[in-house]
Amino acid sequence: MDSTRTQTVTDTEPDFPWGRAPYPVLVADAAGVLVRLNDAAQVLLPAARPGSRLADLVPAWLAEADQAVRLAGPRSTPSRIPASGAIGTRRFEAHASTRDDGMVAWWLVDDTDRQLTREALHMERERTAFLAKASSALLSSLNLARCMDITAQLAAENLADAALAIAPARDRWLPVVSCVRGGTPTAGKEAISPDDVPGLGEALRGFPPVPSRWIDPSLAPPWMIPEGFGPIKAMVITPLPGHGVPAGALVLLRKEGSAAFTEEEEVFARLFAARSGAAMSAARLYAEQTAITDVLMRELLPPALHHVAGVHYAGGYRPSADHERIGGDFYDVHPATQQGDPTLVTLGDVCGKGLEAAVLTGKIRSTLHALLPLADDHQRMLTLLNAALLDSHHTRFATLVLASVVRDGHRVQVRLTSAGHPKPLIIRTDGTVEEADTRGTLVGVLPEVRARTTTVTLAPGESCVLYTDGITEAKGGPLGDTLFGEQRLVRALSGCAGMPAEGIVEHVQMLVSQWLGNRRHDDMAVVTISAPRTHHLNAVDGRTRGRYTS
Amino acid sequence: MTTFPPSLHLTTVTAEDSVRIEITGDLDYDNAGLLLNEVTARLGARPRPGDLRLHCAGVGAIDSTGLSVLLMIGRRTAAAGTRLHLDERPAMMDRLLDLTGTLEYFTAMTTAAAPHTAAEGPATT
Repeated sequence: MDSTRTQTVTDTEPDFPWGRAPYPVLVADAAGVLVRLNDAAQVLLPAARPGSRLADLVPAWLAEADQAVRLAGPRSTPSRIPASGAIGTRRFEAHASTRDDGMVAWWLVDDTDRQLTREALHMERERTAFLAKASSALLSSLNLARCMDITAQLAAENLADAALAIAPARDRWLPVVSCVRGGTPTAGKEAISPDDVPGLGEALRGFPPVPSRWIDPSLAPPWMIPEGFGPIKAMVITPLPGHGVPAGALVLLRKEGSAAFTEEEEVFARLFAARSGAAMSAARLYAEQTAITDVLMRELLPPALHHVAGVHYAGGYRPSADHERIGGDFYDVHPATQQGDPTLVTLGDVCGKGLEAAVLTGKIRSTLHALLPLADDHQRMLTLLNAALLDSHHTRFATLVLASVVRDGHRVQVRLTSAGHPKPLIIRTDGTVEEADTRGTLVGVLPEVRARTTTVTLAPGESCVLYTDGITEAKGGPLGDTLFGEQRLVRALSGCAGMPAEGIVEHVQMLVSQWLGNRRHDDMAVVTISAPRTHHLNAVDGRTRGRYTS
Repeated sequence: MTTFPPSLHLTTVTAEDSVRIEITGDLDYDNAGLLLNEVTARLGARPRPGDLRLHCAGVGAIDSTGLSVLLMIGRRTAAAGTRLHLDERPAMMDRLLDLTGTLEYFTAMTTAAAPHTAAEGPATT
């Protein structure tokens, strides 16, 4: 210790007992000339010697503070906020005490660590705020493209000079969104293999997580560098971790002239990547689910109807508006495989909602199609369908109507069987509406099903209407709580006498839509079987389609 | 998705060898599961009730899921050898049971006391 002490310090002197005090102390006289300094001050200011001017020894901020203290005089109260600034590599707070004779002693308190902590806290707060902002921006969208845009843009604004969000390739194309700081994100596709860029392949496989990689900027392929960006100083590839699926990779680029990435920044980039990765994989899963639903729905959508074997058919389907609750109404028209055999029309309703109901719908439609050769015996068809649907785990059932339709001269014969379904309605030419006299048990739950079949004859211009209870149970009307009901449907149909099949379906759909307004509703399906108003072209016996004008 | 407070209330009264559940509210897609849970819990109790009476006067609306739940209850009570009674059915409920051809099934269950002879519902597919 003695060796480091300079001769200027004499800690034995009674009026300067701070020779070994841990904080630097500088004493200057009224003229601003340094009189004394202690060991700590000597270490801090190696050039300082008693006799030199304080203003020449210390940084400007301290010289100014010294000036201010001298002007204020010894009786002034010290400023509440002490002067502070850097001396060398450290930061100090300077506290002055003034003697009556104008001597000023400066006490320097090292607060470097506090400053560093404060700066770190400030930075941490900014980062937290940024992450919160990023999260809310990312979570506001379930659209993958939008999530990639947000990721690239936020990264370019906050983490680098330019950023690229890259999603795993679906085919040979790699979806890339790039964004330069201050610019707008641009989406593109690159026909490259991710394994050609060091680190990108691993990052895109994403699971198990791999650490970010500093990449030699000279290895960056041209497609990674935004136009007009210039040479790259530094480049980092960070995986975007998803929910067990790779969400993509984030590439951060810094321009020539910017600082390289610090370890801390890279850690922070990973925090950001975790958030955007979660958002991107959620968006991706959602998109996949939507795509699956779309494909299934397309498969399950009712067919477009037209005329078959001299009989007119029309169908209308309105799924429940609620997107999550895809419904279980269905209808089909299966032309006979043999000419002259009846056409089979099916319309039904599966209990429950959503994809489960829709899947059961598909099963029923396929089964009925397969049972087409047995269509002359509805009871048997229903028994077989019931057996195919029975499941000890659930009681999901279906109600349906089977109609076997065959043209017989001008007339149309319809054999109808209801399996627990609302009875078909027949519109006569004079406007009377009759209920078909058929009833039966629903299918899919009970060990046995029983059904009574009825046959109705449609004269030219007459129609048979099959519908699901979504129509009659549509809640609406002036007060919004009344069911559309069978009576109202019968009245509406009575006004449809003589109308073509499409017209009847549209009329019913329109009335129910008006009734509903914007209210929630179940699936609604209507099918009309109409005997066309035709003229027999000739009296020759025959059953080819060309025999009728319809 | 918005969640609504359940619009179905069940009051269970246990007597000697029988359980009575009063149903107030809708037996529909959103709520019917509550009834099934309640019944399943009661059927699991020892001693097993000989009669299960569902008091239906307070049933507001019943949809296809509600009917499906009643059918499941029918299957479970049959398997447990408990007689199921659907008491004081409102007209709307009768219409639905009639339309779907299940009224006979449920009325048959009331009389057919089938302890221990009850088959496990329909065959497993």
